[in-house]
Amino acid sequence: MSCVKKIRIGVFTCDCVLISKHFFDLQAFENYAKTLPNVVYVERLGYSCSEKSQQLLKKRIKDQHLNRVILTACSPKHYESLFQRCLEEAGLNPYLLELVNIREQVIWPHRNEGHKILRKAKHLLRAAVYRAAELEPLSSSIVTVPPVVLVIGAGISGIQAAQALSDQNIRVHLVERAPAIGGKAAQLGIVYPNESCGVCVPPRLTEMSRECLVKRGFKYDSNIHIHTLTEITQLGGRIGNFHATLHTKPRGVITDKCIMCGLCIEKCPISILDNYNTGLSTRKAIYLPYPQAVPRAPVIDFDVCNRCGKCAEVCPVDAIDIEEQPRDTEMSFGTIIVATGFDIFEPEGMYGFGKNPNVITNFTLTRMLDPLGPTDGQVLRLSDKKPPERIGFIQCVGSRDPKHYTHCSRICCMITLKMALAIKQQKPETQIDVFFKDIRLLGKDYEKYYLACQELGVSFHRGEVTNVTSTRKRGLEIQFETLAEKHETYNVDLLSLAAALIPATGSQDLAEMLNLESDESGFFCECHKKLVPIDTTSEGVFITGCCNGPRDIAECSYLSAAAASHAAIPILEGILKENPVKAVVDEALCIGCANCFDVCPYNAITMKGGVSTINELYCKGCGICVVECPAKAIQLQNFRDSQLEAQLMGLLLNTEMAKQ
Amino acid sequence: MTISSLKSTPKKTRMLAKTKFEPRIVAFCCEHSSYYAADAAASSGFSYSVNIEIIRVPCVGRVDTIHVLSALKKGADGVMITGCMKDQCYFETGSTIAEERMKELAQSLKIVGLSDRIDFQLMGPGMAQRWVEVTEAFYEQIKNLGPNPLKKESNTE
Repeated sequence: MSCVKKIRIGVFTCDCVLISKHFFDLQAFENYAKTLPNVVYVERLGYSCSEKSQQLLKKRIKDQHLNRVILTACSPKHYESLFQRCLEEAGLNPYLLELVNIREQVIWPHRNEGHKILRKAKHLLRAAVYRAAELEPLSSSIVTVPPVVLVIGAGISGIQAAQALSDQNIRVHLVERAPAIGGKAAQLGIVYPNESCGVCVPPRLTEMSRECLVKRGFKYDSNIHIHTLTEITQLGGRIGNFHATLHTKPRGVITDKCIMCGLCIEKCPISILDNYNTGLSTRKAIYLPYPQAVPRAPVIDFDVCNRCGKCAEVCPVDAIDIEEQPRDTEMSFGTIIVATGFDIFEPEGMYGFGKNPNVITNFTLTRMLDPLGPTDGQVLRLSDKKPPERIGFIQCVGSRDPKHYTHCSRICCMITLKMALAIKQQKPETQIDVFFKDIRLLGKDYEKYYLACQELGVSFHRGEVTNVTSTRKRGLEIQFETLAEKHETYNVDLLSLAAALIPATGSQDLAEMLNLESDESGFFCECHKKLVPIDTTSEGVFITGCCNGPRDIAECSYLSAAAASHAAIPILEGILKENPVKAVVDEALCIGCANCFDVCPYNAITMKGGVSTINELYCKGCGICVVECPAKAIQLQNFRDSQLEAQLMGLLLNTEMAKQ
Repeated sequence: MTISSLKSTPKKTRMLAKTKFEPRIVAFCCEHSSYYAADAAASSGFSYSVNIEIIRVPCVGRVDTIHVLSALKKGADGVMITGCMKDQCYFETGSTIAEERMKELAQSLKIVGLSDRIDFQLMGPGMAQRWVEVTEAFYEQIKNLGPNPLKKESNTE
């Protein structure tokens, strides 16, 4: 279309005080613009970003039948989108605009250069005029966004994000692979900084009492659909059009019918170690994951169930279905929030862990301290089930360790202090030794814990634990080297290791499905560490909670609120405009060498029938493939070879070589 | 015409070239990093050589060796190719791939003695100071090298 129509370029100069007349001869510049090819109209706009100037610009585009617009103003980062919209309103394609960055590239850096300013401005304008002639209209395809958000992981972060979205009346599918929602926070018993249950939240405006986050209102919340025992087997597409396959394992109990009488659990003949209590207690093959578990129904562990059918016999409401089959559901989503959380590092072989039962992780100790936990809140030695007299804590196990993970797990210091304090309050005579490299307390009130621990007589030892050996009666001897290289020995009855927080298993599969980047520890990377810490490089995918790095519940809460608000933007807008700056293949020229396939950072290129095909959903418009193509079959829209060549031509026209 | 004029006053032209030589330098700038670094330099009150003229590209990985050669052929005295820091590349691998390409190009240009006329630099979007440093250094380098030998005559306006 553009080739047939005669090119009519309008040049508009901005007359902002920051730009023009005091520094160079704008009149001469405008006169020069008139001499350039295809330029049919030149006008000074006043403050081009003002409403008045934009009305004028729109009027001129129509009056003068302009089909290219060049604006000499400030950097495109300020007003490019504003001017593009202006063109669109005047009925011209927004990609027929070319900005000349007179302010940042000419006036400001070269204030004292005299006439050379004008010369540079002319060069840049000429480059823009040449390039403008080669510009093509580009259309953004419009995608309708389904008003549904997928939240992956129903830990405290996922639940909070889902709740925040539901409050904005957005439908959410909350997917969790465990049989109940709540994640790690539900296992924590008491948490800092207010010594409440991990999932306890203060009342919302309309409610009267505190309540459990896990149990709260989900039954009545028609916006949130919970999928427990569900994993995502397939996930593709992009913002506005994600499609996923959810694979749901059988629960064996129909949640709508179950009345939670617990008869089935009583009758079940199979008993195994309970993972929820980190193996401190046993559970049946049909079990309730934890007392507050939602959905409110037991679940059958089909890995150990022998299908004797006793549970089905005793169930008074026929809620048990042993023959239930796994099912796959396919769904579309507008945006995705990833809240897959963390796992605890298994310090196998470190400090006697795994050999001596009295060496445990801090997570196990947390379970013991839970008033509703397997030991009713008592700390016990696992070898003889007696309360220990001396307890040791070793910090930074697996984290800040070049052999395992280099990151700081951030919350272990506070966890140790919280537990030390709880133990001291319970049994003041217990001797507690904390072996640490650094104590890092990053929260507002957290220093109080440190002071309280010191007041109650918790001993802190700074240095490195060199060895832990078992002594008589399963006691433990700790060899310790202080900062002054003094060697010391301590004896303890129970040793708690502050194990590192590491990405949840399966994070890598998800990262591949969603094209997410991971850091060296395997945590998902954010788009920008400071300014957009919840967005990812995959548009429409947001991260919250510990899948991005270790953090405590308070931080997870505000990240979740932020993620929910970002994920809601495309949903509330309803439609999305695609950036049309993408690579396109001329299939007639493609020789099928697959060079482009190798360099694409987004796996947007596939080879089909001997030619490369670009999936425009994945292409982000970097143009790396364009350069790699030996046949020049790929071009990047808006940055075609011909456009760059024309720009260079315009820029260097007055040098002798360009004339030839 | 140009050749004859060169012949008639060879000494004068050469003298003129030495004293009044003003290089033309084309800088390809990634619109996610170095383009902003140049903006930042301007808005923080730094100045750099007026002879550096910027062409905006979406990624340094979009800069083809053809464009660099084309700029030299058209008479640019030096060409800068600038993009994001490798670990912060907006398009993940753009800077890494571009660096390899430009290394290869420099190798080939060595044969014809033009390798010093291209410069590959990486910087973040806020590195105003670095923008000024690298452009000034390159400007000095080109000024010392003299005009592009492919160009028969010094700039005329």
